[in-house]
Amino acid sequence: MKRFILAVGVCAVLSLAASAQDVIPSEGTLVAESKSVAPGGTLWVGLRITMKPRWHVYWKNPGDSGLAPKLDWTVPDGVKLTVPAWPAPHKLWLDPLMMYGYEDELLLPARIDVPKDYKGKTLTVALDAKWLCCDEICLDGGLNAKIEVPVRAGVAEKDPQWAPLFARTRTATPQAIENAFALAWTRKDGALVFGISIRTAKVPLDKNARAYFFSGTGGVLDHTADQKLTVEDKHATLSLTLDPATKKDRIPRLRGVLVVEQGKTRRAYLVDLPGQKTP
Amino acid sequence: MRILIACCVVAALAWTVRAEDKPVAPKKPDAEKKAPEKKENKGTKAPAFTLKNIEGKDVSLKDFKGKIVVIEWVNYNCPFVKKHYDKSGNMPALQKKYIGKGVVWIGICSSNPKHRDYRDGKNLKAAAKERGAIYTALLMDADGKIGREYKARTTPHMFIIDKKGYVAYQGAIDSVRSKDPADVKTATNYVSQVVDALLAGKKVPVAATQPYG
Repeated sequence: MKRFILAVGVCAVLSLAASAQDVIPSEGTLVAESKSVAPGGTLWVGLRITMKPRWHVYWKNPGDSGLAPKLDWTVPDGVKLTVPAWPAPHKLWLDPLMMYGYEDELLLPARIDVPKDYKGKTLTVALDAKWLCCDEICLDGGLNAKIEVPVRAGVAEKDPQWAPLFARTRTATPQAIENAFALAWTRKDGALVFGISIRTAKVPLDKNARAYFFSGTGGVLDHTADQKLTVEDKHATLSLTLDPATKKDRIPRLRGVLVVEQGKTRRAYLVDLPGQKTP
Repeated sequence: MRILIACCVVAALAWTVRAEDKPVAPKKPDAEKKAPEKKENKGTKAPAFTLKNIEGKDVSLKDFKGKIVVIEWVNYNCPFVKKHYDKSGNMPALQKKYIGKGVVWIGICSSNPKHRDYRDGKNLKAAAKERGAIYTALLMDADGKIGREYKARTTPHMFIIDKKGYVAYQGAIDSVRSKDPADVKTATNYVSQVVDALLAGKKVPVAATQPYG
């Protein structure tokens, strides 16, 4: 049975005092996994966003409404910063719209590699971040912060306050996997029917599994459509539906994240399948 | 699955079901009642509507038969709408330009009266005036019925109807999906592209884009 919520979606920015009512629904902090980093070593940092209950922030593809967080990292010259895929999002459904995002707590990590010949005694990491946090209204969130991390030789000690969060985030980060996915399509009574074919030898799942493909870009797939998982002997197929505004004679490039839930586990995989004409 | 409330969402604004409401069967699009279409794909006929304007007077889409009609789903509190109003003057400039060329520009607000940001007719009129918004008609769709029929999803969400009553374009106002007013100058404005094409009797360059808001 569907529950319907009385309040509805409207946007207000924090500066519009009349309707903001001094609500601060989200907070951001710049966190580091370890208490120091060695020359030649690796340090993980991240933007941690905590949200009040029933508020959410968005994934890269926010879905039918919303806007993804924007992060601008600054590290010293010669220091390398790479950003992994964001943790797999969740579905945020409001009939008839589907959004993709996160609730409660989110860590958007970044990996820092310090060169062997780094001379400084500390490493300054700065972050300028902006995000949109919504429940029935939308409020701007932001963080402009920096941390100074000691640089010293030896094994870096993990920070017990943040290490578990980084570990959970790693589990939620989509993994690249080879030879696991392919495009499957056919014509049924002239209509295009397509989906992702999953090799179960590479992505174990059974008839009790649930799967969902989050398109990395909007305007490609219909975010609200059901995705039916059909499990056979060596393959499973997840059905997809095109965004109604797209051309129907070809399948666009499918780039995004496939999430498989089995029992209590949730695994995420990177998918990148080239587009296909469908005569 | 949890049900949550989203940002700048038109459809959700009035899609609430109170215990006493009876389910309403969705209206069939007008196209199904018309005579057989010509072979070329004309697109969807714009759903008919009659809504009250901010003065409480009934206004119907058919009042504007034979004209190019732009429908702008609006909510002045939404940051994505603010981008095109308070912060850039983009929307009022478009409204002025095209109303001046004989285009009909309709604003529709589908805000639910129970919501804390709901504006009644008087308030909506003042809000529009404050932002320099100009409309042929500014209408209130408090139960969201018309939002649902058009499948209007976000604010802003633009619909452009040709002189024959078909939806020539629906989607985003422009090509840069952001809240930043600085992006207005560099974005491709789909409304301008489509209305200019319709005015010139030329082929419309884009029929649909993903709306943002």
